[in-house]
Amino acid sequence: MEKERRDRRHRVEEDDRWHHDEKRERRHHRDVDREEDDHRRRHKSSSSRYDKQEDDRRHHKSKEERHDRGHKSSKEEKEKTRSEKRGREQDDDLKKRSRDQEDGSKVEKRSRDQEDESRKDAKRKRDLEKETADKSVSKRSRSEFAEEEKASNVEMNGQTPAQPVVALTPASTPTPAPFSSPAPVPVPAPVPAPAAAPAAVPQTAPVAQEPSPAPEPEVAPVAGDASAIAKAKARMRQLRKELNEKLKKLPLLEQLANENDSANTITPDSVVPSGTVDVVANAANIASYKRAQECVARLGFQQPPGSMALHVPGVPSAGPKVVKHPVLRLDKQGREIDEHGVVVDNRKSNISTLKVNINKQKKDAFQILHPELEEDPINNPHFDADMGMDRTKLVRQRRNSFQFVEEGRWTKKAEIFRLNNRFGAAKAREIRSKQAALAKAKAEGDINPNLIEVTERIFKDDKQHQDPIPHVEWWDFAVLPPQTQSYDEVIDGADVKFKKEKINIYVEHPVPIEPPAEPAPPPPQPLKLTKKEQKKMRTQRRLAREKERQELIRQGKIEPPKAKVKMSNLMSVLGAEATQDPTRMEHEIRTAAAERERAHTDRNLARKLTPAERREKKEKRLFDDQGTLETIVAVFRVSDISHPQTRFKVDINAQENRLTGCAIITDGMTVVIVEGGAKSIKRYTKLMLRRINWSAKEEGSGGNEQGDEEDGNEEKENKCVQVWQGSVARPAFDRFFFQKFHTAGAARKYLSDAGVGHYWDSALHYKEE
Amino acid sequence: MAAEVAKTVALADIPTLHSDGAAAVAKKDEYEVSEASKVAREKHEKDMERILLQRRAAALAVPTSDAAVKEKLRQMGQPVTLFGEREMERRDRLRYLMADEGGDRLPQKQEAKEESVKISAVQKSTFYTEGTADLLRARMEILHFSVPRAADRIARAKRKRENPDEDEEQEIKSVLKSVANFSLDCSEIGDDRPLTGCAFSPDSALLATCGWTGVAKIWSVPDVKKVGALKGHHTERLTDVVFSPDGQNIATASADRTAMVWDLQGNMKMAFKGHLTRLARIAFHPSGAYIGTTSFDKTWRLWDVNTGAEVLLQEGHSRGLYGIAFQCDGSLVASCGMDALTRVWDLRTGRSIMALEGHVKPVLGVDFSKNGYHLATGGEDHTCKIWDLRRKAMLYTIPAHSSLISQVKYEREDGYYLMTASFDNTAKAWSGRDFKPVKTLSGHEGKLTGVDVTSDNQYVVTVAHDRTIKLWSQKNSPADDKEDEEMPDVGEGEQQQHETQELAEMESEKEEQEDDEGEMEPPVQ
Repeated sequence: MEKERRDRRHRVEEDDRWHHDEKRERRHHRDVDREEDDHRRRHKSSSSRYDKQEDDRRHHKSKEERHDRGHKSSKEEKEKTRSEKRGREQDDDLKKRSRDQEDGSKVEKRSRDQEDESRKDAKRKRDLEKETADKSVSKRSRSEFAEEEKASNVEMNGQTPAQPVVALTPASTPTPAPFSSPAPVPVPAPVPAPAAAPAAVPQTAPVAQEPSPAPEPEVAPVAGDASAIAKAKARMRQLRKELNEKLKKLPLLEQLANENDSANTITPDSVVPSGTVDVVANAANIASYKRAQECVARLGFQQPPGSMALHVPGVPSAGPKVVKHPVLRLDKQGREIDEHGVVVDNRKSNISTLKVNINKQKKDAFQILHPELEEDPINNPHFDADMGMDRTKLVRQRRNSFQFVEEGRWTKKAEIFRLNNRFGAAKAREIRSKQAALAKAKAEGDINPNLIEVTERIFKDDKQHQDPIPHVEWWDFAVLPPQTQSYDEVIDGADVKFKKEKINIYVEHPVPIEPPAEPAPPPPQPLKLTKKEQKKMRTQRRLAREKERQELIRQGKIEPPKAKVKMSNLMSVLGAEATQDPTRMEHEIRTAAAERERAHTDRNLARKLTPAERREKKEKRLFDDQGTLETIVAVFRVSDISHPQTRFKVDINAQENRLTGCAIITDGMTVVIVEGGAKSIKRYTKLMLRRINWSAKEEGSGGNEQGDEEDGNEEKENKCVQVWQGSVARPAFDRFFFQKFHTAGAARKYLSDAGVGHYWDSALHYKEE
Repeated sequence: MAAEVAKTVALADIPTLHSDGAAAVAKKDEYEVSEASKVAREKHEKDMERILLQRRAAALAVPTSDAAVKEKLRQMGQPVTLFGEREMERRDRLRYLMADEGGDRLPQKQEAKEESVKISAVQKSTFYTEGTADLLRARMEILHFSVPRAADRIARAKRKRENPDEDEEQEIKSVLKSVANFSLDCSEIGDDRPLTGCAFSPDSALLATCGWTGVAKIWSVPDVKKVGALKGHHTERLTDVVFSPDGQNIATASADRTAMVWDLQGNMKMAFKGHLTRLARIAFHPSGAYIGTTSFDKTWRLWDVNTGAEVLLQEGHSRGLYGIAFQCDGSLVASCGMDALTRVWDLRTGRSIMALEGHVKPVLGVDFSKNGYHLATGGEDHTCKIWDLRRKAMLYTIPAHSSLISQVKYEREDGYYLMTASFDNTAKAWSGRDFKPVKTLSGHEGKLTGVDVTSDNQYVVTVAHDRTIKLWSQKNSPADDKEDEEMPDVGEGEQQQHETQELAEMESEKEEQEDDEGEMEPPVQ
């Protein structure tokens, strides 16, 4: 059982691999069998039944012999037994299925079945014979094939891509390939054209014959040299001879084949170490191949027209009965190639990337399943079609929440109706639009509809909200006797009762608390010198250095520097030397000068700041506040910040100066709050108070300029004032942003939530002098 | 041998080495050297050493004065002087000795030691020391003085609130209206140098000012005529001046580390000496028997006016102190200083009952409201903060000025408004209830250093570094309709809405603060 399970697993893999060959085989069957579709199944079942009997027999035998033979099993045998097993299993369930089907139409088809079965038996015999023939071919030495292939490769140089082929399994052997693709083949295929397209030349009468040799190579339409054909012919002859010999030993071979049932070998390749050796499937495989093919065909796999098809030997065909195994060929780069040396792309997947297909897949995967009704109204015998019932509506899901009618919906409808009645449709629409505009203006923005309009404060009610006055202040309570309810209890004329132990002679020394944002003490400053003193110091330093150097030179500790020879002082320095070889001297001088210059530029370059250093220096200049921890806040009040340009300036400068804060925009007033370092705040203050032209008009509003001019006199000038600037311990905001509010109350609330409500108050109450 | 090789290698590393010498050295490693070359090499080494020593010596910082040179030589255990040696030679000798030693490592070590001592001196926990007998007596006196006053105050407040005839809001409104009408009444050059403090007498008839000349002057109100001068005893500039509660005495604080009490005739009655550095502000206890002074020696002290004795020396701040204020009952005192901290002390128990942290920079002005539980502080962070002692929380932050706030003063009678003086050349009046700005007094051309209000709310006086005394009153103000102009530039209806909204906000804020009370640091008891 275990074995069977394993087999099944392998079968799937192999089915896949061999699906190319299956189509061809199916065609064969078409020739053989008259009824094609359901008959095939029957045929299969019957044949498989036969197989099973045989298998069982073999199995027993193999079991007996297994111990003796051990691992000596040949690859053919392995293959055979495996395919047998597969066949058997497949048979089992096919049998079952066919039986089921047969039950229905048993009576009519029985006679035909019998007929078929007899035919099948005959075919099976043929198959067996073929297998043995193939096996014999496979016995040929590998080296022979290798040589042959090499030769053929050389011969067919003109047609084949001369690509080095490392074929692990010998499929592209010069052995007559039964069905080679019409494409140029590396082998001199002695295949007649009809083999390539079996449908074209239907062989209506399958003739039981000996494992037939390859058709006459002369017929091969494939272009090739005469020598190649001759060679192939010779080989064919040899093959035939060998085959005949093998046929004689057939019974023995069968025995051998049976004893091997190791099913875990996937392909004969695994046994073949390397080289171009052709392995022909043994006879026992073929039946199972066939079945597998049928199975695959039933499952609907198509065979590509040019692909290598498994030719089932024993079935009459024009080509030689050589079974082709799936072969793995690799080229030098380790890529898989087919027999033509063309690189096979294995990355192919059957996942379509077309949108249409994806959508279809999705649709299929997530089909909308209507909930099933307990009672199908349509199939109900009492269903009345005249009722106009919609099935889709019936199965619609119930809503899972209430749906309330919005408040005022019906009154609105009624209102519209009334208006329409009174003024007519056109007028009513006009009135309605006016009303809507009015309502929108009234309920502008995010005003909470639940907000109660607050009117002037009534002070009488406010007394309750005032701070309660304690009977005894808590600091007094600490020194007065316990459970003191009021001061009157403890005051007795001029005398006061108190806790004696609280009033003592001791002086407290509480732990001092360090200030929160005290800047670090400044680093020690270098000695400050006047310009004159600096110059004097430098001179002295240089003199001392020079003196020391001269001392060292005098003592011979360092080498004296070379004379600085220039073109101008050439003669005076070198004298006669210069006249001896002026060209060389000039060259020397010039190289020395170049060297000096290069040294000079190098020194200057080394002193230069790197880009990172320069950036750092610039940043330090812009933002360094010498270790102060405090954050400085500036609050500005602007009447109108609607101009996009000014808005942009306010925003971008805050960000570029690394300030945090916010601009609170309300109808009458805008408050800009910025927090940051002292230098940044200084720059930003200058921007707000000096650089921005607050009175600038928006360019787009030129259309109604005349209208503006009239009330422009009343309109007060737009400007910005600094309300306050001071220090805080830590910033209240983490970035700079704009915030628009429709009411001052909302703005105040927002800021007090951020803990800075007093900024708003101060801006609101700020008065200019 | 190995050591020798190491030495030669070390010498070879010197960049200025002669190439021939280097070659010789390299040769030496491999072959036996002749006696002559050995000698030559030794000589070379010696020379190099000498050169290096010279270099080191030239780079050293050697004391210049002969005494310091001798001191240094003594420290090094060298003869202070040799026979016939002059100052320059001595200094050169020291230089080479120091270079030989390898620099002046000795003094650096000493410095490190000092620093470590400093670090270990930081106080870790609260401790108590015994005071004088005077202190105990003073505490008892203060207790007996303060409790009845507190009882009185509470009773008055309750009466006021319960009395239907007394409309406190209306009163505040009228007071604020009058304050909003303040304008410059009189300006007078007060001194030759900047003025630092000013104070009205309790009966509002006199005004005292002090300045950098070290002279305090008494002026009449309202015409600001000089009545008298308190001079002849302070040797340094004055920092503050204050009238006693009975109006009979004037106390002055000075940078010469003393405080003095004078009578109105200009006679010095008592000098209080004890502070280690300059004084800052000075304040009379409401009983008039004690004065409190702050100083930059990180202490504030309580003095007995009658005996001149130092009753209490109180530490507790990490930096110098500046402001001091007594509560109206006389039970509490608040001190603030350069550590951005305000401490409230109970004078009876001597404990620091609250430490008010909230300012970022030094706190210069502090004052108690006359309601007894509000405390206003102003400082270098340009804000004025209002603290509620009953809630033990900060009530509000007024972004008050564009420069530091030098003094904060509550109105004397009920605390309906408070004044802040600032270095931005203005003084401002703020409502004591909702802390809205009421009036800005601008006219000074220098930094304001002091502000005071008369108890009848008729006058405000300010002094500044521009050496002028400015008296502000309602006298010259136009008719009442002016107040409308003072309102900010927002629509009338909107204004109303803003205000009501704000009040609502304030309420909610208060509630929040009450909620937060649990998190507050409990007073040290």
